[in-house]
Amino acid sequence: MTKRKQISVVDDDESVREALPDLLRSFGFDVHTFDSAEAFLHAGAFAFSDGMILDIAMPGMTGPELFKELTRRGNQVPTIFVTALKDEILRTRLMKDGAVECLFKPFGDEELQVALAAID
Amino acid sequence: MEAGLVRVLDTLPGMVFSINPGGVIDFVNRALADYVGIQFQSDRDWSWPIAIERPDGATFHSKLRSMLQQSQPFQMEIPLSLPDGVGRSLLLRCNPMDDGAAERRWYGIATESTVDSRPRDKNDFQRIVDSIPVPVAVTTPSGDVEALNNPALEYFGRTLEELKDWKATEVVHPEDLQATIEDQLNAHLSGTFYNVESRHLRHDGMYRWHNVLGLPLRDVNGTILRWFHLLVDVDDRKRAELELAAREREARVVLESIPAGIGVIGIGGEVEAINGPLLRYYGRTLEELRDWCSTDVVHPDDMPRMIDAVDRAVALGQPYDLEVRLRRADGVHHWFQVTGSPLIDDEGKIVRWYALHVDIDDRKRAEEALAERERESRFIVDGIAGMIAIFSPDAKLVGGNQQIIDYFQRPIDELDNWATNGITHPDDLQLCIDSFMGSIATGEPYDYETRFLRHDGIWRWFQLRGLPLRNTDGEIIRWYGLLTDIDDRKRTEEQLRRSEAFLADAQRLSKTGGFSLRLETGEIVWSAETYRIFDVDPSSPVTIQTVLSRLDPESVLKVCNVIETARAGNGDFDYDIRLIMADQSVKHVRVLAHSKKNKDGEQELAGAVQDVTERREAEEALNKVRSELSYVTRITSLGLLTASIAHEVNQPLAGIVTNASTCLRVLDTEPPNLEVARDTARRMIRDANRAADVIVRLRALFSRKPPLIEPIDMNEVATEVIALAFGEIQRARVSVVSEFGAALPSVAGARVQLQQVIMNLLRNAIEATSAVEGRPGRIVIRTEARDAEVRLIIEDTGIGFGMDGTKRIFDAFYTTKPDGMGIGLSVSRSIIESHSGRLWAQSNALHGATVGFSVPIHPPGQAETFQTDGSVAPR
Repeated sequence: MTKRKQISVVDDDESVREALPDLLRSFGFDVHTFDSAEAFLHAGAFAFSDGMILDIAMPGMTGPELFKELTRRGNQVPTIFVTALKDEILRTRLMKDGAVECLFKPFGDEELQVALAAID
Repeated sequence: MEAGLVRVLDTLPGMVFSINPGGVIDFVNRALADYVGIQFQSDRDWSWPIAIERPDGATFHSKLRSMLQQSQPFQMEIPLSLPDGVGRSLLLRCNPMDDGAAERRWYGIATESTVDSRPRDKNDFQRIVDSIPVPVAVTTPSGDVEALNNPALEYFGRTLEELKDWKATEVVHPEDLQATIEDQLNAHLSGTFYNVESRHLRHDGMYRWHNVLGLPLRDVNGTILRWFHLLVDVDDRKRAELELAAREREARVVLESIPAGIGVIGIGGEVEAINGPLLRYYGRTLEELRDWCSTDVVHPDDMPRMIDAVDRAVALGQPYDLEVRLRRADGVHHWFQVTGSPLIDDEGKIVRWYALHVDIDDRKRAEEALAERERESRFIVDGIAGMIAIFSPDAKLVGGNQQIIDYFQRPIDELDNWATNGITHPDDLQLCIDSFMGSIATGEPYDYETRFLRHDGIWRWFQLRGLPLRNTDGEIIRWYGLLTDIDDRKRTEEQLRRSEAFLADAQRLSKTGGFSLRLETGEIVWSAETYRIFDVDPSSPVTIQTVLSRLDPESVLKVCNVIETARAGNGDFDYDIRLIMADQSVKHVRVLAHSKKNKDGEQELAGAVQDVTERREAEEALNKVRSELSYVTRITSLGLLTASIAHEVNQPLAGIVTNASTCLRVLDTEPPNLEVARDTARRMIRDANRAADVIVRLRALFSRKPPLIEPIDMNEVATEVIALAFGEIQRARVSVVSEFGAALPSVAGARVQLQQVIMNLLRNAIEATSAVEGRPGRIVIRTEARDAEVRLIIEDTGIGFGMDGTKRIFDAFYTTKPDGMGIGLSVSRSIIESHSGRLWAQSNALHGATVGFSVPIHPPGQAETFQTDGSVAPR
């Protein structure tokens, strides 16, 4: 059996960290959650993550900053940004910078599944 | 002397001579010359060979001269020193003969005192007398006519026989007859020379005046043998004399009847006559007054002037007029006006002087008294501390005191033109003319005020008061005007009036009135504006009832409480009352008052009332605007809030959607994972509640409900705001630290408004902080209780206020934010001030700014005093 792909969820919002892992597991992914960008870096999760669902607005290091930082380190992880602020300009920029997708909360499971398919 | 007469006289058997008043002998007949042994020559002086050694000799000449000065016949003895050495004397009998010539001439007969050896020859007499060219009558010693010479017979035109009975034939004028007879009789009895003047009937029936010279002829024994009567015609002279005498008599009657004193002075200055009134005044006789210069009838001080005046009159012919004091019989001096005028005859020569003496003592004394009174008046008027003007009844200025002259420095006659010469202020001129001329016309006193130009060009105000002075008939004889300098008073009045006007204006403009209430008497005094505010007729008296009747019930209680408190003691009062006006409109009035004892020692409540209705209405309008504005502010920040709302709502929604998706998926699996489904359902409920909470808070934020004033826990409000701003705080990546004071008292306020203020301040702090890069953003929210108020302070490390920030940050539309409207802080400030709090801001020493506000704590149990219009009445 092939190894289940590892997805990391980085979000300061607890409800997201609680809800997403169950959905992702139902899709067949293994899930790790982090409540901040710093925690993700500290755990060195980029090493085992096949993909990442990253919140944009977080206290401390924001999602885009983490993305930039991983790019800088050469530890790029396919990233799906999620945000409660519907900001098309930011989304366009993030997509240009190499993000797999940028989803606006609340998003449906199909949208997420489509975005996750790009990671496969 | 006629040669014929000389011959006659030489022939006369007596010694005859003639002599002039100066004593010069101008004729001596042969008999006399022979007797004394000195021949007479007309071109040589002849003098008596007087025996000077004899007693009468030395004084003879002086005696003779004095006798010659008189006009009466006289006789005197002259002691002679004759060649034969025998001491003899002659008896000289002299009569004056006034034949109208300028100089009186005396004729004398000398008889030997001791011996008469002259021959007696009756025929000789007849011959002699006939040759005399004037009528001569010869009578016996008894007076019977014995003979008449031819001139006599011719004159009378009668025979000797007819003329012998002269006493019965009217040849002597009947008026003169008695005197003639008496004179002759006397002369015959005394045997002396006689000389009478009488009228004798000429042949043509005319009486003519004659000087009748009667000479007795004596024998050696001195017995009178005959009388010779020479009739010298003096008719022309006599008539002139009589005429003059008549005139003089008439004049004398006039003089005597004049109730003034008359003195008649001869051309030589001698006193000729003085009339009765003057003599009686002096109490002296004419004789006593002839030498008036050496008497005391003229006052010693006036005598020199009097003498000088009379001397000059006599010497130069100048009339004189002077006033002197003359001594009355009782020793009292009266003032007289003495006027000397010459009487001038037809040829223009001065005949004599008449001096009129008029008693002017009363007038003089009246004048002196008047002068004295005027001196006194002048002294008084000059001593008056005002200007005096004296006008004639026809309004002419006739006098003034020194002050008026000093003030204008112009002469009186120039001041009389006060209406035209510019000394009266043009603006006052009409009033002056109307008032003054009105009084002149009616006689009513005048009293008005005007400005007069002082000599140095300064106008000064004067009060002019004038009174008429009337004589005993009630006629106005003078106007006395008093000019009082009231400039200082006037200016003070003007200033007072102006300041009162200012005060009244100020009261009216500020809608502030004054009042005082004497608590003991209830007496109330209002200023004009207070009357206006209370809408009470200013003429009606004000009582406490007047005040209370205008108040609404709540204000009545309030005012009664104040009065009771003020009665009890001193204190300050600051309260609002409401007046219900007649038209049921409401006035809001603020009262500031103070109670204390006034200067009379009475307890008094005094203060000011201010009509704040408009302000109150304006405040309400402002509040309305403010709430609208704050609403606008909220709307304008809606764009920003939308993000916040989206974040706050989308977050739980995202959770719900994710959970729901998961739930469906796990239920679709075989077997359905019910445990996960249950978890997801629980999480959905939680997230949905969370979203509902957010919506509730937002709804409060956006609602336009009138704010409710209530006791508020500042910490609770601040916590809510921080929760609301959580998203922004997260996005700005700033840390917000709360340092809340413990057990804070409640403040009085509108929850939503205070929330908005805190939100405003916090959002500003977040934005200012997030704009700074390179240092960690940190915001501290602190609350504390201090001095009966609660403070909330927000300190940030942001960009601060910029160069002139703290001064302007509360201005509307001032902003340091690129996308801000600048309304937030000014709205915040107005909200805080409506809470009777204050809002402040300052730059921090190192970074950023500190903004804070304070709100008074909520006093327990007084919630009912809060007003519902959104503002908070300060208490």
